[in-house]
Amino acid sequence: MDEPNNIESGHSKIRKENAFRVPDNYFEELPRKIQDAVSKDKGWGKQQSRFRIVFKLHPGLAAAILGFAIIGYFTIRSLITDPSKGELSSGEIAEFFEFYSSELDEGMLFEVLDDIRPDTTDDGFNELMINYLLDHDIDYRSIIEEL
Amino acid sequence: MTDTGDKELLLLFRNKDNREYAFGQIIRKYQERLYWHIRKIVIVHDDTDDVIQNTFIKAWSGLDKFREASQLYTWLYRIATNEALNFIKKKRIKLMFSADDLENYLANTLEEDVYFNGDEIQMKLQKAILALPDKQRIVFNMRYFDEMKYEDMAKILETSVGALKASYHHAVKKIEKILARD
Repeated sequence: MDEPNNIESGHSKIRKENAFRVPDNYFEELPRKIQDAVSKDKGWGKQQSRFRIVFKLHPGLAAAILGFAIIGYFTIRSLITDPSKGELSSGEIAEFFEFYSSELDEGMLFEVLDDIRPDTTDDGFNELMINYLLDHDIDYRSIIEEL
Repeated sequence: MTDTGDKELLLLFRNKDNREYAFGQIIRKYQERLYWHIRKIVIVHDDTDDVIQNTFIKAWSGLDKFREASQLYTWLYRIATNEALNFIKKKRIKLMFSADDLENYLANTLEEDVYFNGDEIQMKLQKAILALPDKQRIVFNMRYFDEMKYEDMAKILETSVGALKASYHHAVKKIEKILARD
């Protein structure tokens, strides 16, 4: 199979050179930035480990905290967002968690807490759902089809 | 890419006193290659910045368990590819909520990107590449721009050389067709 050295486009050949650029000094500053991010992640990781030990011993506590965290999150959201947008009420969310309580595990708790923690924008709910579905290997095409 | 260098770095990393220094050296050694690999997948500089940080965070937490069954660089590329693909998946779903599609979004972003200074024909090529399925796009970029060996690509993408050759061939044909049409 012959391989093109350059893609042909009409009569011209397209240069292979990299057309993307980075901000000045980006690669000089990146190692420090990454190491800072790693340090922050280590701190969060330690907190998670402590929670994991407690919640492994008390799975009921994990489910209860997860339920409260999510209901609290959506209750606050419903108070600060426009009710005309037709979002889920805290009651509906509570029903959802009651229905799915057998599905809750500590892994899910950490995913949810992890997602809620840095994200307080309006995209938070979408992010939460998307991350959960993707982390459970649900194909994105299936998600899109269901929307 | 020197195996000896990587082995020394991994040895240093396993000694707790040198761990952060060794990891800094690993970042310095691979950051540019990984950055450009990710950038060609996610296109936007700020997104690439996020993905490369996540890549190295995952590498940091997994490096203890890395048993050199593969080369360090193959292992890092694999993490970077998975992180970038995951990012793209999430982006695609998020865009569905705003009734846009990823290909359009990235093509528009590219046009306004201050960190893209390709000429008109390079812009057309990038847009044609964006029309490929994600995995085919990765194969095309690794082979066409990075001129990576199929054997190395096969280790990173965990697939066969034959499948990669076929994928690259299809990608080139599609791109040429798109460019001829425009």
